[in-house]
Amino acid sequence: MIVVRQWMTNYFKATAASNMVALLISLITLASCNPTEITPSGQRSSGVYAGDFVNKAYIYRESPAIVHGLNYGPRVDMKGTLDKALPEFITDKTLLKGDCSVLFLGVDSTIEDCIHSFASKTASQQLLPKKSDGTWIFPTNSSEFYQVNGLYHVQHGVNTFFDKLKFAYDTLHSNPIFMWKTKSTPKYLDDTGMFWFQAIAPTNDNYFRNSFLSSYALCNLELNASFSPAGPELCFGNWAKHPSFFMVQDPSIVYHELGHALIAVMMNFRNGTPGSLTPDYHPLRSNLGGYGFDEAGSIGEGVADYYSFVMNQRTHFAEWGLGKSMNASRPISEDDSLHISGVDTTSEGRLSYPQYLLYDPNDPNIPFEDVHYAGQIISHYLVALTKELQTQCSLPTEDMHDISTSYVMMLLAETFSEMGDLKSVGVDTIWGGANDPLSFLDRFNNLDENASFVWAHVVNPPTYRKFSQIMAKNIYKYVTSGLCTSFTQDESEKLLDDYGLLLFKTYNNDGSSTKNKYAQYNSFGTVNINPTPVAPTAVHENNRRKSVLVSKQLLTLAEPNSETDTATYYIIDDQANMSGILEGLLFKGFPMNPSTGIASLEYNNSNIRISPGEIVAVIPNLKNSSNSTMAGIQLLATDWDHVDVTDTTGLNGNFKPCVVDDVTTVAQGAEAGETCTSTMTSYKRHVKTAGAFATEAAAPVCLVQIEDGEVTRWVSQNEFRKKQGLALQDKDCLGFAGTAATEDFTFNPHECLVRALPGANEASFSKIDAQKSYVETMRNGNPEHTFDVGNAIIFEVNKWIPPGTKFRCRLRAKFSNCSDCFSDAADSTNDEYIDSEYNGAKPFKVINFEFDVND
Amino acid sequence: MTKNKKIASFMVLSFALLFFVKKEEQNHNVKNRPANALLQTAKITGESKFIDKNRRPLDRIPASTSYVNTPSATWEKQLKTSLAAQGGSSLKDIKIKKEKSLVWMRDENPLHVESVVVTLTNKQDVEASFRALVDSQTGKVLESWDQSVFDPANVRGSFRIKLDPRYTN
Ligand SMILES: [Zn+2]
Repeated sequence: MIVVRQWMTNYFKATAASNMVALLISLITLASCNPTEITPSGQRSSGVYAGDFVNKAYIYRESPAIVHGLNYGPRVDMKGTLDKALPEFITDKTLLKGDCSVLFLGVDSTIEDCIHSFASKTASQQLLPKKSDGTWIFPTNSSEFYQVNGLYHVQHGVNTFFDKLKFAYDTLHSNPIFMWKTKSTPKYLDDTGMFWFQAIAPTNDNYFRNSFLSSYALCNLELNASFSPAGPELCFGNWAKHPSFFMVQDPSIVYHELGHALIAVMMNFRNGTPGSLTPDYHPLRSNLGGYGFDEAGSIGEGVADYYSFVMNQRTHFAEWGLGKSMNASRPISEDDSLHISGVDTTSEGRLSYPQYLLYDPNDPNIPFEDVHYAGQIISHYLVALTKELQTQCSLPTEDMHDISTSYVMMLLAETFSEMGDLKSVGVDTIWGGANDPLSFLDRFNNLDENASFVWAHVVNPPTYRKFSQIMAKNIYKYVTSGLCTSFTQDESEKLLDDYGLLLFKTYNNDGSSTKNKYAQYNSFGTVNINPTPVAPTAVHENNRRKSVLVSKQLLTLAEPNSETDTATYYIIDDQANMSGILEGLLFKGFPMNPSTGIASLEYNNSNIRISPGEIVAVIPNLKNSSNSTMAGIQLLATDWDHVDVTDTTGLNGNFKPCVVDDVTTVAQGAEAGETCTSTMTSYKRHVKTAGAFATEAAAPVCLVQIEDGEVTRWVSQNEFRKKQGLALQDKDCLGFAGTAATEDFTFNPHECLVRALPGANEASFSKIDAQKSYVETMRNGNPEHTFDVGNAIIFEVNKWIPPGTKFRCRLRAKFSNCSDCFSDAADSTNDEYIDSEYNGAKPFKVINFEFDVND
Repeated sequence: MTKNKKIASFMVLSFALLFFVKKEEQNHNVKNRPANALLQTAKITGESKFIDKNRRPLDRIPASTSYVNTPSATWEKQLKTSLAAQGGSSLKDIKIKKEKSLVWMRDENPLHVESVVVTLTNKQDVEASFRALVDSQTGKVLESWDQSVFDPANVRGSFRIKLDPRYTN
């Protein structure tokens, strides 16, 4: 494979960034460059500092790859990378930690000791004390040195974020032009402490093990770095082969990981509200991304790369940490010379969706489904938006970067806080107070406070469409109609379209509630019932040139095809692969409550069929019969409202499937017509409440076929297990965790026989090329093809199922560039489906996955 | 609906809701269970808090509070067993740290749950963590969140599912 790595030779173009780097190089003292391994100093540095050096240390501003050039390393001595001209303030505390301070409308909110910097994770970890001379100057390359630098860069990134947040908060809540606009970034942020990882009231502090962010400069991770929100902590790894090489030596990696942390902060801005005595917090928190490839995770990577640009103004990420080690650094702008030819900053040359979803600039001939590479579309868009704002908004040259990135961070704060809103009320009072959900009846984000986590992360999660639509709405609201009127709606739409991200027909800014499209809030934040709903702002259709929308009707399961060597679905039922999948899912934080004694890997027989007792992964092979690429396909195996509960006694909850397509017909026991139209406005699975099954509920996806004499019908698994001479008791069902004396209130007997495991009940597919199946698109003839874990849905199969039993699982698919997944074709205003409609079939194409269970 | 009517119905609903909420709290510990179970419930409930009164749907009848699960001392053990079963031989250590007990409305059933932090250490000594809401009776995970995000230099090196050769000609 030939990759012209121009960047190896002419990466340093005459740009402002490289000039800065040149200046930096001239400033540093070029000390001897004997690479040394890390050693704890075990002693105080012998130099005597004091006076001007108190509370300060020498730091490296950039990685060795930037200071010395890309050919340097990987063995490294950081002496040559240090900026010896200007020691930097580290902290005036006696231990190595810092504060979080933000000014909201001139009032200082400070969380003391909000950042702690450590070396590595140990049971006895201690914060480093300041030297007796009052400085933080430790021997270069020592463990202490990296801890000090770790704090410097994390604190620098956090301070910058709080500067941006101050701008956003003050602009949104005091600029008169925004007075009559509802905002998502709440005014009560300082009352709840949600501008950081802290819940203010101790009794409510169930979120965080610590109210400070721990940074581990020398973490036990091989060529890796991580952010763990449950800590919260940042972890910067090493490279076993080169003991002097550390991820923390690359500040862009520190900013990227911190970027993940800041996304986690912004997504939860709305999840605490001031109470009468103490603030009230939603017990869950929002984050981006799932267990494998998905668009939410890709947005997270793109925004984290963008934060590196915010911090260092460079449009390339991780030249040292990822580039030196694995040739895996990433560009953040099209004018980076690492890109293949054809990628440039013209409308045609932008890194557009979905064309570049699988684009690895380091290995462009081998497409790869990965959140980091897919995220490049988002990072490039955000950099392009920043630069557009710089030129369109007449910003003063010296503050151009600062102001333009503040605008973009404000847009991100508004976008993330809306997407992550779990309290769901969504609208504050015009004075900026939180509406009391007891008296404020409507909900505007993520269905309602009970189901919001599932809606915001599984049923209707962040996608490239959702992200770009909310960003566009906020650009329209705050930039075009406020801060910078010369950045017009057309300019904004054209830029999005250059990136293939003009994936929506309206700005969805009509303020409809999640449960009633006639209940709409206005610019005062008051809710009216409008007999004719106010229509959303329409996209100017002539701006849609690159962004192609495709009908969901053209998405089906592929037919088996020997010519292209593809199947309808792929079943993984061998023990080695399956244990790898299950272990990986758990490590990624997706526990699945496997059943005990009813199904387990010991039954897996590796015959690529579904057999009693197995735990299997299924990769459905979806086919795109249109002439354009489909992208961001999400396939759900979560419970939904597709049945009519016919048992009114509440004892069994038996139901008839609704006719949702021409696959399950009335003759097969289904029910057609009005009684089967989904009207559920909240999300309730088909489990007993108050000892009885309700007459309306979301049913599991898998139906089972029952024989009644000559007739076969598709019925509930609960009905089946009680008939057919099976008489399976609850304890013989999947997912039952009760005992003889106690009930299991989450037990769902309608998935007694086959169930999609919680934590693995959805699958994501980056894209499917025109007239191809997913596997054809990805595999490209490669017999060694491997799948991403995110492509699979995992099912448990009851060991008591009689061989030959037939199942039909009604999965639901939607995708990001879908023309008819988000609004009704009959609605000329293209008003989007409201959240409660995601209980039913409307936004989706139903995909019928059928199989027999056999030994 | 006129604005006045709306305000009136709104107030009626709010009062009704307040009434129900009050009633539910009073009924919280009244359960039709053997005395020892009741004692145990009462004890654990003392720490639990209805995390958000308004988190209850309007149409739920207060009597259903008597059907909430019974907290059991074994939830943590059950959780650990379940995690160990899924983790197979890959894990070196599973740490469960309970942060708080609360009541969580799931499928219109108010359930006693534990909010926990789970920290896993694999055989390579790498740690990952997440949070979970766990059924206080059965140890079942009802929701998990706050998962670690990893940024490996070798993005192509993580676990992938091999295409079974039996699917190719
Ligand atoms: Zn990342």
